[in-house]
Amino acid sequence: MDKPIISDIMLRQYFAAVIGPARSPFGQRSTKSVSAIGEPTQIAQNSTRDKALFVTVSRADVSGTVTVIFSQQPASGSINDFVVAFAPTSSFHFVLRPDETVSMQILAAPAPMILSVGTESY
Amino acid sequence: MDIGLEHLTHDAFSRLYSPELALLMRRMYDATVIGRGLQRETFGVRRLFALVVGEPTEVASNTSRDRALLVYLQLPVGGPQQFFISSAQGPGGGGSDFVGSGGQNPFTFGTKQFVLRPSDALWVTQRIGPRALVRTSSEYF
Repeated sequence: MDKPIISDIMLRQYFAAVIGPARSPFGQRSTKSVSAIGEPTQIAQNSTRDKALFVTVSRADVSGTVTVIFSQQPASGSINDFVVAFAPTSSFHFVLRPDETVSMQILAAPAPMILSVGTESY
Repeated sequence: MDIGLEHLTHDAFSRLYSPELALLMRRMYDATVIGRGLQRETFGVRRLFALVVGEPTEVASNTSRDRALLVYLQLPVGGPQQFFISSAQGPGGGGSDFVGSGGQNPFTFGTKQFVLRPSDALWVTQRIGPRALVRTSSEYF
């Protein structure tokens, strides 16, 4: 049998990328407090073997805008990773493949931040 | 991510999911793609809610057994209000909710698209500010 042009995990990532943004805040949710400045904190991991994981990270506090770095595996943030101004009420989305993780570290005060993390597998 | 698959056949869903789930995934996919960019906002059932500060209000729920519900939630923009948006896991206002805002913060919410599975519900809690009117438009796929 011919190998499919698009792998199953690619299809799952595609579904997650299309449907996922319209689904948050549904799925499994947790709250994380990130207080240490300059230390990476893992916020989500795809521990499935064959599914794509859609992750929504949003602020659950309403203090000021914070500059942060999001990194995917490995969990050590570097200046080459995704540096953003994380404002209250904004949110970020990630699609993770099996075994991938996403981490975040705060670059400068104000801290702590309270994050709302939602995950849904596809 | 764009791998050039805007028009997927049902086979693609059937390859990954059980027949019932494949159909629901297909409907969720259709609701997401067709509803993108508010292109169905003026259609469907429209409702208006007057919020009470601190009191969670259910603004949408998918009462079907096997359909996807496309919901547009329109929050006031430019006012001093702040809102929590929460899902079916219980009436919200808690720490793990999705926060939308009026004009106080840099990001304004305006209208956002949600796609609900069967039994999902959407709640809005106004945190602060003068009493807000919230509009929804919803349509089953």
